[in-house]
Amino acid sequence: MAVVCLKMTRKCSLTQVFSGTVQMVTPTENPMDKYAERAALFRAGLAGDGVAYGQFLQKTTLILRRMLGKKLPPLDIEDVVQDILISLHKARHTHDGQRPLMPWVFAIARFRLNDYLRKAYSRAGHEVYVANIEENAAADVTETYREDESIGELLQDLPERQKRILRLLYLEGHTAKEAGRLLDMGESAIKVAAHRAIKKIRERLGG
Amino acid sequence: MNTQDLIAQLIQKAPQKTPLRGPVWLAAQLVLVLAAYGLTAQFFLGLRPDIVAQLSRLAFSAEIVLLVLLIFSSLAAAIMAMYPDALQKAYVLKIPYVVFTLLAGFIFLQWAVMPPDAGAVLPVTGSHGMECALCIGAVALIPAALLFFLIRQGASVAPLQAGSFAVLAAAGVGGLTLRLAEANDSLLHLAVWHYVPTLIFAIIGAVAGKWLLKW
Repeated sequence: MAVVCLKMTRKCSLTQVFSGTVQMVTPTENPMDKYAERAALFRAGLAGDGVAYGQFLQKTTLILRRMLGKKLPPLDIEDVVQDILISLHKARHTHDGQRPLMPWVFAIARFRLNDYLRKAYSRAGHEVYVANIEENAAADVTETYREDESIGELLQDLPERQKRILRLLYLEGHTAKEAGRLLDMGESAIKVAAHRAIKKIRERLGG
Repeated sequence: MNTQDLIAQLIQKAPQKTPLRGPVWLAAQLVLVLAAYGLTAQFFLGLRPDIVAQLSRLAFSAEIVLLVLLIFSSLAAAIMAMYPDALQKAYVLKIPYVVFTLLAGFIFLQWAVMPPDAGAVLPVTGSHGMECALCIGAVALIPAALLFFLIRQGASVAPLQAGSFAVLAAAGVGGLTLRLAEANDSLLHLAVWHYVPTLIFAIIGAVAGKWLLKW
């Protein structure tokens, strides 16, 4: 039986090629290509077959959900999937239907995912900043330092939110992610607030 | 909106679409246009009087070859950057940076093995400087705009890189025409007023790409 070898990737030895035991095929003809069906649907879609195009989008949606499930919180997945589907539709003229399709799909998916993450992180950073302003504005800045050894009393001097965060993290043993979920804050915001609270306590202890 | 509804909408928006022309066809068109533009610019700038003697000098010829390579590699990379998957030849996107590094390295290498004649390094007294950078920028303006327009026809997932390639190719044309026109071989002058501005233009192109090549 002939060995199937992709023309573009050439994953076969030269000996196999010259001995004639290799059947050279293009990636779209490769019977072992598990995405061949999607590529065929996409090509039909480019030629004007709306049903095939719809099936291609449906099948791609499943892959995208699986891909994004590992990287995004469940609530955000559909937004990004839709964003990627629109991008695939807009960019469909950049694929001729001949070269492997999935690297093209994943390149667009990664681009939109990175876009989304960049915006999400910048939003989160802004939220941390605003939260910190609120916390610091609420703090009693005129209070004199005391050298208490009681951690409970030290916690009492902190703003309510920081106090709750430290209790959740260090007294109740929650992770930053869990604490964030309980307080409706981002994980990084929890870490920043905890860091600032500890810094305040350290200053009061004179450390 | 529900994802199913979105898919239904996308299907209705006539999926039939003519694929973008092949990269070879695009490259051939661009090379022709840029060659015509470069020749026109050269006609206005003129040729240096000692061009024949200079072309027989190895250092000068090598620099010209590297500049031509910079233009071709940047053009190829700009075209590849139009496709989200870079036509599965991502290495092409690295070549312009390699060529530019070689060009800069070549200038510094000449500097390191500086001949006893300091005239080869130091600029001629009273010679211009900023005018060269401005001239490269002015010549590069139209090709850069053309390349940006072309890249926008695609769907680049590396807009910063694509923008820098477009400007690098255009500045390469400007640099080449100026190098063939200006009789100043001072390495210091070339480094400061030709190649550093080219690098700065490429950075500006990258920033512009971020905004202009959104899709």
